[in-house]
Formats: sequence, structure tokens, C-alpha cells
Amino acid sequence: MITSIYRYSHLVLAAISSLFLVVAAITGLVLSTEPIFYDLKQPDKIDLSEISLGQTIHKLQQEYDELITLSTTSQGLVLADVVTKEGTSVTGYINPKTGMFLGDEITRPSIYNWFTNLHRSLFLKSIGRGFIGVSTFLLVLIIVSGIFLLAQRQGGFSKWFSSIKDKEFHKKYHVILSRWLLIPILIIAITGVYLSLEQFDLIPVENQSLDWSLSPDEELPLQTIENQDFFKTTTLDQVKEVNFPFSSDPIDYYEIYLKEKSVLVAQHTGEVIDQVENPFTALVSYYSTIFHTGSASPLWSVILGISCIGILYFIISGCVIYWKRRPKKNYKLELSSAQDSEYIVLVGSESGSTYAFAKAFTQQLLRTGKKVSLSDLNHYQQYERALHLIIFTATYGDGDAPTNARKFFDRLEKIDQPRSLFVSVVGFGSSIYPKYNEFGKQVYHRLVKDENMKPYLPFTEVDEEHQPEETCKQWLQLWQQKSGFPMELKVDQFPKSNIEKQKFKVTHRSPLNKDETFIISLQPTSYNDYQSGDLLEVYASEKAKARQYSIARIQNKIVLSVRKHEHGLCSTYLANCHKNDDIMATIKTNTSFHFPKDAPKIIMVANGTGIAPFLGMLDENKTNIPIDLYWGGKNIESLSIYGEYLEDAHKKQQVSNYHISYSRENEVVEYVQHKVAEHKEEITTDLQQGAVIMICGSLSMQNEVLDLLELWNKENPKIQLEQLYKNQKILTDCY
Amino acid sequence: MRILYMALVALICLSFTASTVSKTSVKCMIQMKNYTGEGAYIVVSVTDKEGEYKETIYVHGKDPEWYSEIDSWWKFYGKHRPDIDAISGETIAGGERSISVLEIPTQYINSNHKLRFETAVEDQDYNEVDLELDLTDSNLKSKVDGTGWIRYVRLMPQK
Ligand SMILES: Cc1cc2nc3c(=O)[nH]c(=O)nc-3n(C[C@H](O)[C@H](O)[C@H](O)COP(=O)(O)OP(=O)(O)OC[C@H]3O[C@@H](n4cnc5c(N)ncnc54)[C@H](O)[C@@H]3O)c2cc1C
Repeated sequence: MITSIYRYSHLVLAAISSLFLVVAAITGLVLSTEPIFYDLKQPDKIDLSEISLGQTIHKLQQEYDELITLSTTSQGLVLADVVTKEGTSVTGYINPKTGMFLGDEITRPSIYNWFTNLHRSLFLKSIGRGFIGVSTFLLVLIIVSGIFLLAQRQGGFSKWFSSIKDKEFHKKYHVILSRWLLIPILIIAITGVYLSLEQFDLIPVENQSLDWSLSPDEELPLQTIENQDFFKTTTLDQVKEVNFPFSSDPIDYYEIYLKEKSVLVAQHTGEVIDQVENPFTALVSYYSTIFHTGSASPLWSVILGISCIGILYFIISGCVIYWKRRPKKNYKLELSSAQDSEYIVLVGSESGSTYAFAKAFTQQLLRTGKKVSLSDLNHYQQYERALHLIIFTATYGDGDAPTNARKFFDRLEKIDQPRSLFVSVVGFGSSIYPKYNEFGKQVYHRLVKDENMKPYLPFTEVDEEHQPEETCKQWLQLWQQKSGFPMELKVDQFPKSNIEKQKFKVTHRSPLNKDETFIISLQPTSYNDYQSGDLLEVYASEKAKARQYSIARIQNKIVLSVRKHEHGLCSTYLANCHKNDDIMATIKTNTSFHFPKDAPKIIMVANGTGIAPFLGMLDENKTNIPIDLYWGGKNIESLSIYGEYLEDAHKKQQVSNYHISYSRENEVVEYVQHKVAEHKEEITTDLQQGAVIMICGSLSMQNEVLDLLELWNKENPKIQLEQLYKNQKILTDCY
Repeated sequence: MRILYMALVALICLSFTASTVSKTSVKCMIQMKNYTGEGAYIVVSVTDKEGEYKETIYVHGKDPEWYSEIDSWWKFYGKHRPDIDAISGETIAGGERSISVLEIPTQYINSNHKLRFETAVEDQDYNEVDLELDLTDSNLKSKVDGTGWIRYVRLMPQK
């Protein structure tokens, strides 16, 4: 099976390096606390750019007996190694203005040493460093392949930040987090690689050293340090380290390392004896260290710490994703060559389930003794003896062909079949992507345009989000009926639904009202991303087919309005649920009936239980978009179970107008479509101004409302019904 | 009561003498030869005339992972592992020089002891005796050439 090169490399690289990366990430997390630890313990900082080196040295000379070294830390403090007037040698922080000793150098807690060793070399010295260095390099490649993989999934770099459709928790957060942590982790990895290369001497350094053999100019006047030019003009923020002259001998110089260069300075005159510019690699090395360790900024070290947690999470979620996608068991098929076969099975697939189903289908064909060939769509060719072409294909990204089907259309164009063929196409996809099964559809339509190709079974779409197993079974049944071949697939050969049944806890169920209608609230027991207008597919029992109910999301609970049918399996089951019961269900995303939050106005039309999603949408109307709600029920009591939600929405001004009609309350029978008709002027004006009309409830009601719109369209050509459909200004969810 | 008092005085005296071993401060500059690779680990120790380790005076290199590479010294230090935090500094790279203050117990000076500089570079050569000098007053203000990674060492007693 050919898989996308990015996904493949992303996976393989991660598998190779994950063990080392886990260690590096955990130890990195611990080490990221170090800069914070120092920040808490160190004395306060003083602005070094305002103090000259001469001033500081002058003060130190007054305060101490001997000066050995002076350096600035990456946190911006001044550290000096001196011998006090009492003759003891100390290393610690000093105040660069007064020379006062502020405290001993904070010795690095040995726990950090231990973790640094583990982080750098796994206690394996050079070999360990090699492993870690290579893993870090692989991390760079993992990130790069991840970038391309993500771009491909999202349908191009331009859609980088468009929303993530996956509903599976780990898949979704693997992507969301990587969009955020990409940059810091890439910085960690690249600087890590640089530091490793440096460790192994793989960075060429032209290390020019200072020339100590040069002699000082004896003519120059002697001056005290605070008057010497070099020391007057060099401010402390440029200084990395100063080694004081070993003795008062004029040929013992100050050895000074600045950020840009290294210098030798004569101690009595301030003459610059020799200087060497720092090579570019020194600068890179300096910044690599700072960025890799966070030593210069506690804030950055927090980001580093978060990135470490991120890496651990990517490894864990990556394992989970792989485990769910892993290829199924392999078995061998006795295939014939494409030339000899009567049945040609072609596959376009990026992942296991399409291929598994095609293989299982092929296996069954082979059992009947037919000659069958199985290959991918890119290998489409002339078939001498073929009778049937059976295609199973997925769609990738934004309606694109899977990698192993890219060349199919090209080949189709060029190749003429010697015999006429029967064609069947099954598309596999997930309805969370707007263009799911687009490629399969195109394959089918392009094929049947050819007179030589005759449709055998209608194009079938398998939706991984919605009972794919059922769809496949139905398709196989059709095939069996038409061909007469028995098809006996095992349970695990069918594509599994992406969504596993989940438990939902009943938090409330109202008693049945006069119309046998009730409200039931449910709490998902695991992570779910859903909104009002999505559908809850409820399983009344293990074997039962799912029934759908429109969801209202109110205060993070699922609220359904259900009418109990007299002999209805599922509605009766729900009517008998009690608080704290668990029910099994899945959430089906229904993008075509979500709250249109960019609409200038919304007209909601519902009858009976159809009001449910609207209750949630009113709650979602945080920006107070004007909403006119039309609802029709039997009588006043029918409305009362929704009373509390409607009042709440009314109080918060989340609904502008109600138009309620009752069919059994008064003498006259009045349906919701009558109320809609009464408001013709208003509604047509609204629609012309871009309002969205949403219809939910019974199909007969929907049809009558749409008939009305059509009628108005005829009278007033300004409301283009087709245009409204196309622009998603008419949304329906009826049953 | 009197006995208790005497005991206390004795104890104080004892602890006093123990904590104030008299030391001589010597400024020490190590100049490395030019080489490429990691910074060198350098251990400065006092040995007796048989070459037995007496005391560790200074350690350049703070990463204990590599201490075992400094073979002879590790056999001495590794057994007891006294706290050397206060007398350790950074490694010294090729061509670099470094100045530090060595605190040498005065009892070892002019009494047939030696000052040994032992060097090792990660994954490269180890020198058990890169440089050695007799601990005498005159040697403590001199310049001595090394045989391994060290080009020379300059010493100067503190005032
Ligand atoms: C997109 C969508 C959204 C939906 N939203 C909602 C919603 O928000 N609220 C809601 O209440 N419903 C909604 N439904 C309808 C819901 O899915 C179910 O169809 C409905 O609840 C009936 O299911 P059931 O299992 O109770 O009945 P089933 O067992 O499926 O029976 C179907 C019908 O046959 C009748 N029947 C069954 N057995 C017999 C028998 N032996 N003799 C005589 N008659 C019989 C039942 O009375 C019932 O009318 C929606 C449907 C769709 C497609």
C-alpha cells in the first residue's frame, strides 16, 4: 500500500527517535525550571549598559585585594572571582556600581547536573551524545514532514488556520497543539542540533587566538584604569568575561571577551595590544545556547517547558492515532494478471479500511473461481479480457485524489478499452470534510461518460462517520443479487465507524405532556465537540438501528425534544429513561444546520419537536442577532415544556419576535406555515437583505413553507430561490 | 563542674585547630597548548614524594560524568568523593589561559611534597602527570612547562 510520503516519514522518524525524545523531553521539562529557580534566588539586576567597565574595575580594585576574573551572566548579573582583604578567595555576585559583594555564586543544584547529563548524553558520554544529537536532527525532520502533512490535510498552506474537522480527541489536539508549538519546538530542535554539531567539532571554527607575544608601547603615558579610553568606553553589557592581569608586569595584559570581539589591553596604559573579531559561529553558538536553555529569560524557559510537555503529548497522541489506523492483518490472495482477469478491482486509498474492504471483496470473488486482479488506480491500463471494473476509492484533503490514484484521470484519457466494461464505484470518506467522496464521485462520472463503460451498480458513498458498515453491507447485497455470487465478509473486514458509541448520562427527563412529547437532557461522558443542530444517533439496544434526534446545546448539555411514538422503539426507550441512566449514542456533525453566526437576521420556522435545535441556537446567540421564531404546536400546553428556555432567551434578548400558532387550541386550525404566510412582506424583505431562514420539524411542514417561498419568488423575482439555496440562506433539518 | 568546663575548652580548642589548617594562597595561571576539541579537565593535587595523593587542590571541569576519565586521581577521589564544589571551575579549551587561586595547606610546603597537574580531554589523551613541581617556596613563584595539554603554568604566592 502506498501511503503519503509525508505521513510515512512523519511516522517512521517519530518511531525511531521517540524513545530518546521522551527522555529528552522529560529531562528538558525539569531543566526548563532552572532559569526560574535562578531568577528567584538571584539578587536584583542593574542596567549594565550604563556602567563602564573601568568604573567597575576601579571600584573592585578598591574593595578587594586581588582580582582574578569578572564575567556577566546571561541573566544580566556580574560575577567576580576575587580575593578579599582578609585573604580569602570568593566567587560571587557583585554590585557593578559599588563593587559591593552581594552573595556567593549560586551553585547549580546537583539535581540539575544529573538531569543535564541525562538530557545530553543519557549517561553514555559520547555515544549518548550521538544518539541524542541524531534524534534531535530527526525531530527537525519530523517537524518539517508534519508541516507538509498538515498543509496537505488542511487542503493547502492557505488553509493552515482553518478549523480542524477531526472529532477524535487525540487527532484534533495533535493538530491544534502542533500549530501552536511548531515554532518553539523547531527552535529547540535546530539549536539542539547546532549545539550537538559543535560538540562533535562539526562546525568549522577559524579560531584566531590573541597574540600574547606583542609588546606594549612604552612611550604611552601611565593612567589609572578609570581614565583609560578603552575601559571608559566599554560598557558592561558588551562584556562577557575579563581575566585580570596575572601580575603587575606590563606584559601581563587584561584579557577581555566582548560580545563581538576578544581584546588584550595593557594594564597601565589602556593600550589595545591585540584584538580578534568573534567569528559568526560564536554568535550562532551564543544564541543557540540562550534559546535552547532559556537561561536569559524565565518567560522563554516557561515556553520551553510547555514545549516539552507538548512533545510528550505528541508522542502519546501519535501512538494512539497510529494504533487506530494501523494496517489490519495481511493475508495472501491468488491474483491473476491484469491481462488475464475478468474482474478488475482498483483501489485509491491513503488508509487501511478502504484497502481492507477491497481486499475482502476480491477474496470473495476469487472464491467463485473467477480471475481477478487487484491494484491501485494509478495502474489503470488496457484490459484484454475484462468484464467488470470495480473501484473502491477514498478522497483526500480538499477533494483531491489519494496519492496512489493521482495518475488515474490522465491514464483514463489516454487508454481505450478493447471491450466494453461494467463499472461499479464505491467512495469512502468522512462527512466531516465538506468535499468528502468528491474524488470517487468524479471517477464514477468520468467513467460512465464513456459509451464503452456501463454502470453496473449506482455510485455508493460510504461515510465513515455514519454507519459505514451498513452502507457496505447494502452495497454487497446489491452486488450479490445482481451477480449471483455469494459475498460473505467477516465483521472485521468492514470499515469501522470513526465514531464509537459513547455513553451519555441522563441528567433530566420531563414527564410526557398531552402530545406525548418530553424533554431529555444528557451529559456526554467523554470529550465531544458539538453544537446545536448536530444530530444525536441513539441506539435503543445493542442491535437496534440508530434513530436521530436534533441536538440543542444548552449550558454544555445536550437537550433533546422527543415525541414518543406509540410503538416507536427508540422514542419509547427514551421516554422510559430516568435520571442517571446511561444511554449509548454517537454525535453526528451536521454542518448544514449550524447557527449562522454571520447572518444579519435569522428566521426560524419549526413545528412540534423541531424547535429543539433552535432552543440551543437562541442560547448561542451571544451577539443578539435579530431572530424571528415561528413555531406551531397543538395547543398552549404543547408550548409549556419549552417555556423555561424561551423565557431565558427572551430575557437575554436572544430572540426578537415570537409567532406561535396552535392547531387545536381555537376554532380555526392554524399551522405554522399559515403564520409564515401572514408575514410575507416582512420575510421577503428580510430575505432580500440577506437573512437566513432555517426550517426544522416535519417534512410536510417544510414542503409547505418551501412552496410558499417558491410562490413568492414567482411574484417577486428579487428573491432568487436557487441563489438562496446556493448561498446557504435556506437551511433545513426535517424528518 | 570544673571537669565539664575543661572538657568544653578542650573541645573548642580542638575544633579550632581542625578548622584552621593554615593555608598558603598561590595565584596560578594555566596556559593551554593549541588544540581542537573539548575543554581539558585539569586536576591539581598535592602528592607526597612517593606520588601518593594527599589532597585535591583544584579541579577544572564541573561535569562529574567525566571524572572517571582522570584515571589515577579518580582512584583517589572516587573512593571518598569529598565536596569539591568550592574548588572547581570550568574546563580550559585549547589556546586558552585561566587564572585561579590555589589554597595549599602550608604544612605541605618545603616538606618533600609535590604539586601535580593531571589533564584529560574528552575522548582524547589523558596525562597522569602533565606537569609536576616540588612544593618549595622558590617554585611557588616560577613558570613551569607542561608535557601534555598544558603549555605552561605560572605561579605567584599572594601577598
Ligand atoms: C434528521 C432527523 C432529525 C430528527 N429529530 C427528531 C427530534 O428532534 N425529535 C424527535 O422526536 N424525533 C426526531 N426525529 C425522528 C426520530 O429519529 C425517530 O424517527 C422517531 O423518534 C421514531 O423512532 P422510534 O424508534 O421511536 O420509532 P420506530 O420504531 O422507528 O417506528 C417508526 C414509526 O412506526 C410506527 N410503528 C412501529 N411499530 C409499529 C407497529 N407494530 N404498529 C404500528 N405502528 C408501528 C411507530 O409508531 C413510528 O411512528 C428526527 C429524524 C431525523 C431523520
